[in-house]
Amino acid sequence: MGDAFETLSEEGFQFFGRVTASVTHEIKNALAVIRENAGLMEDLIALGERKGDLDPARILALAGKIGTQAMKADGIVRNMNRFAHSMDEPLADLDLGETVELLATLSGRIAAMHGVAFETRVPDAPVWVKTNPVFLETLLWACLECAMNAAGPQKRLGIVLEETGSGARVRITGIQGENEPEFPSERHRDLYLAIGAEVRFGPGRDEIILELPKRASL
Amino acid sequence: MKTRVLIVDDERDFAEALSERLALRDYDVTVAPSGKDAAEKTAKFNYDVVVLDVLMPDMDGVETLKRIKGTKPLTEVVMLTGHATVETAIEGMKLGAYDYLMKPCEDGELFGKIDGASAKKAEHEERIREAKVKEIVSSPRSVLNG
Repeated sequence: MGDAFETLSEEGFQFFGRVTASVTHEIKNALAVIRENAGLMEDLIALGERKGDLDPARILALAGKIGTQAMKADGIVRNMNRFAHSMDEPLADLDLGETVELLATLSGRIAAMHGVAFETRVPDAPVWVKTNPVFLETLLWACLECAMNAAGPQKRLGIVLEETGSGARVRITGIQGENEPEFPSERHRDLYLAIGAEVRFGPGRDEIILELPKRASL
Repeated sequence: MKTRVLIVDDERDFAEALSERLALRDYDVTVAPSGKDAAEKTAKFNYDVVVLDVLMPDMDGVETLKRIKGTKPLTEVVMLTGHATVETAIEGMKLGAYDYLMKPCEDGELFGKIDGASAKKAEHEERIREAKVKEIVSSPRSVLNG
């Protein structure tokens, strides 16, 4: 565990930093859209007062855009808040479907910057594991980051969650793994061994497989 | 003549609203949703000022700036950035961008920067015209050579 915590202190903080930077950028974008549409509304109202022809439908449409962006920003903040609270407990019962969806959403803009899109597939029923959420999220991020760098020509990465007899499996598909010969590194190994997990490429190196036990022995 | 402005931003709702606000203020505005599109448009048409988002998926702001300056060195560029990408905007200024602004920005600030950038371009063009006139006056044969 000592090595794992050392790795976490670098990998984990880098991951947290990347996600925070990306998420705050998204929030600023939403605020910028709100700012410009509110400004346009003011301009149109001022113009309408001068000319005596204000179009209520146009103003309503702009108000709708502002409302949509406010909800978008709220959703981003809610996800970030959930992510921040994953640091609360060293061992927690996690619905892996929720964790996978959260990670995919939080790193969506980073993926877009790589020209890559995620498609998550999770079972209808919750898939529960008891593990250290920070280790798991850092590990999942490492897998996603590798997959983004090694995305195949279609640039679509599948994130597939499956329940197994001994726990759960996350498969990240749509990659060309030969482009990432160093993955998983010794540092990643520290992380996955700490939660009793395993990370490997699938046959043909076209997918990354993360195997998780039902209960991590920390 | 109206100031010709190209807005480059992948956030459509932002670009459309800003475009309409500038048009209401009598600017001649075009929108490009990507760096690639902006590079193509600036190669084909003459804009006075480009308002350029730093962070875009297909081609980032610095690369787009290099392309724009490569084909139209006199076109002035104002970079728009979030907190996380201020360093990129500063790098952009070293590469010839006129200035940068943080999103979301105050109305007066952005319109003021666009006017400042446009005035700088006009001044630069005027100096080039004057230099050409001087060259012709001092050496009339240069007209035949040029």
